[in-house]
Amino acid sequence: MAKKFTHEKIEKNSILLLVLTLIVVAIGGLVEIVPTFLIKSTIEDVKGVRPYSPLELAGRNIYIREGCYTCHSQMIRSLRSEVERYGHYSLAAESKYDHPFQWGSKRTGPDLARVGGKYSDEWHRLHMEDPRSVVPESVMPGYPFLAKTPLDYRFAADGLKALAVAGVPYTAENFENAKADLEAQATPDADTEGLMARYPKAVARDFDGNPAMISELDALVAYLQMLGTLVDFNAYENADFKQ
Amino acid sequence: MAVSSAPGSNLPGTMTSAAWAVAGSLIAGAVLSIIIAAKAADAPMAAHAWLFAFAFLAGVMMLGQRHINATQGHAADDGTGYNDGVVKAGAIATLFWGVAGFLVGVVIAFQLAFPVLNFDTEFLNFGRLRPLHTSAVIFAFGGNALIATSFYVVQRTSRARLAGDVAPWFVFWGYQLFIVVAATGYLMGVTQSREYAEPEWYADIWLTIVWVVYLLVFLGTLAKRKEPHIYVANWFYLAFIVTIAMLHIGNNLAIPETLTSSKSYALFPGVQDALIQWWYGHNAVGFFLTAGFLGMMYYFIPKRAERPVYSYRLSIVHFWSLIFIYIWAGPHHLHFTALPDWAQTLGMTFSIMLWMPSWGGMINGLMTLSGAWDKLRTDPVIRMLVVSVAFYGMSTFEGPVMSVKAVNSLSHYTDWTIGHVHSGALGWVGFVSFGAVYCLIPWLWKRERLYSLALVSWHFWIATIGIVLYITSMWVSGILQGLMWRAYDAQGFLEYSFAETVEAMHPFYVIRALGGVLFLAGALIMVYNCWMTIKGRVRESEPLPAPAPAAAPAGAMPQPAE
Amino acid sequence: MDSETTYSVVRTWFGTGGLILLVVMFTAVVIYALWPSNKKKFDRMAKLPLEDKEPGDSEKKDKEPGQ
Repeated sequence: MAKKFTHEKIEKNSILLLVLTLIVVAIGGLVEIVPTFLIKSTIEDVKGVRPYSPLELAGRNIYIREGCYTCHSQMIRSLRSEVERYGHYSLAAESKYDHPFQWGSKRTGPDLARVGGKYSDEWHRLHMEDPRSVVPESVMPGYPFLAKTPLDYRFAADGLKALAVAGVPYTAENFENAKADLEAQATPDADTEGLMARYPKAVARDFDGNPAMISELDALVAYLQMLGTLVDFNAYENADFKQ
Repeated sequence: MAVSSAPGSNLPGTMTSAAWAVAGSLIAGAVLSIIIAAKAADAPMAAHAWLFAFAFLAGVMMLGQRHINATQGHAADDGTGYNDGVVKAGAIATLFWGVAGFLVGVVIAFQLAFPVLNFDTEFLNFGRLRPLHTSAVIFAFGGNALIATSFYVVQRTSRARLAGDVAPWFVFWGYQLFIVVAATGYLMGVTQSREYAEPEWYADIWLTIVWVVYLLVFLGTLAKRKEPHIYVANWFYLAFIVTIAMLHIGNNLAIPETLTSSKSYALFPGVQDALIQWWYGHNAVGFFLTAGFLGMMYYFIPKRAERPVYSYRLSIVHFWSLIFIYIWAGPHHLHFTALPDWAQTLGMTFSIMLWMPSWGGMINGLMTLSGAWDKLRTDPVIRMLVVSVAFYGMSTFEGPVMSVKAVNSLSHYTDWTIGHVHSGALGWVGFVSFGAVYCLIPWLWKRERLYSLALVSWHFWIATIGIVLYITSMWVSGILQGLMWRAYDAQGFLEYSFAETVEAMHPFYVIRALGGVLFLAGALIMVYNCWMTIKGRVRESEPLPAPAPAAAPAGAMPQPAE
Repeated sequence: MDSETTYSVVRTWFGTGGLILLVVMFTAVVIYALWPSNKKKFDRMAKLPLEDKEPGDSEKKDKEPGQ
């Protein structure tokens, strides 16, 4: 409350306001976010979770591209009715290689965290072509173009490399074999020995029913069919993962 | 940087050293864009790189045109009064993007009711249009309203011309470019899938540059001010600008596939990524849709009502409480998920505490009308502003309720959340922006008043009915669906399949879409009214009052001191 | 000390310290808002939007006596 407000002091005031504001708004975020990186029990210690195979990753990228997350969650809450409808509640460990996460915020359609293996490939093909042909009440858009569009996997290795920078344990071996692994997983009767060694439990088959082409539908169905299948919950009977 | 103002020796509007620096940067940016376009790894990246190159070159041409006009004595303004050109542009952009965003909202609302409207195409399916809608209304409509009003308010309450010569225009056009890149990106499937932060890495970098210049313009204007104290509206605007910068950078940390690819991967995984996203997501509500618009409220309500702020002390206390508490509330979006329980509890606790500072703002806004309540009857613009504050009060009560775990277990993942968001977005953000624009248009274009106050009334009532249809239908559908998901039959099995719950939503989705149509219709009436006002027309059935005592209806003209 | 112990120690201190800091900050804001000599300034600021001045007009009245 000086008598004279010099230019300098006034300027200092607005900077002071800025700095104070920044400090005040930074506290909450720091206190909540930083500990989740430090506390080990944030991510449960369960077996089976592995990084995505190149084909699954390509499918995941299509899932993101089409905005599936706007209507489908991938996060089963620890509520009785959800566990009975969708399966074991989701663990943090199950999305530890998810960059970005796909937990979602709205269920215009059902949760997909454990949709893998629930329906046949044929069902998924029909469902993507015309959702109402298999679920009459559905309000989902049709995605007939996925089966017709060849998957662009020229840069499959680049995706793995970017994820490795973010901390996903991909190595040079994954990068070198990215394209071959992708092709092997989408082609029936291909040599999948390397694929299976690098991505245990990966399922290799012609997901879109069209052996002539690796389509975007191949990748998307491969992704959907592996969701929630990596952790064997029978091995953790009666385990309580809640913190 | 570009913020320094023109040296006195130059004619206003001619090229200064700062303007040359901007032009040089734009040319460099255009060259870089063309290189990336040539090497692009995917079609969207190529399209966007060309778009950037085109926009940068257009910016250079605009600078050149401005220089030529100035040397010929046709400068847009003399560089001494308030800089209102950019505010005018912002007001028009607000109207334009508002209608665009509401229209897309109506389209996707009908898609949910009648899925055939997705046409099974790549470009127009719900999944791609939904982020187009949310970004268009939040960032294009709301963002332009905030930029325009903040530029207007900071000048008036500082008694200083906007800092910078080219910089404010750079903020305006740079922001429009960001909007166009984001919107076209969604249609091409370019998205990070981070809700309300979907634009990819290169758009994020561009927005960061624009935002930093915005902050500098705002701070620079405050620094030039002739008022000793910084008026409280500017506190809110400043908190909005600086916190959004922090959130934007924090939430968009990502690794691009390559520098020529439109695809990136989030830096953090799973649970941390989710927490960071909702730290961002909730505070996009808290600082973009709340703090910024409270700044708007703290200028336009007192100004229009011609009453001082009810309690300036309350405004100070609720400002600090609001910004401190809001930032903690994010985890309430992740109740019962794999996020650690302690974080969920913190989020819930702070969300409930948030109720108080929120209502502090509401009380201050409403009570500013005390002594002038008759204006609610006589001035439909005041009615719009006041009802916006009422909606703010309603949704900031509903929010804490929904953050309680027991309630959230029912409401989460359902349309109740959508209804809640829209009571805030349509009622609060929409109405306070409409009110501000209805004030600004006659003030900026020096019209005695709006073309028609009756049309403002029509807008108000049509939009209000639309909001009521919207939020009530979403309450019913949300609670109904939540209950159906957890309903058990006599044998102890889940009673409904998921598909049955979808089917039950249909009538409410139709009602919601109709509510959206009404809201859009109101906005179109507003555009017409504003357009006629700008053209200088006054509706014949509503003549201006006789040019005698009260020659300043509805606060259109400067008021003498009391 | 592993990271977990470090965390719990830090959290305890921050929990207490944070609470005190918050109460102090909030009290400071309230005191500032209610301080009698600030009243004049706040009353004037509350009317600020109502005034229409050109850029550069400085406010003479703000040089309150006794400040």
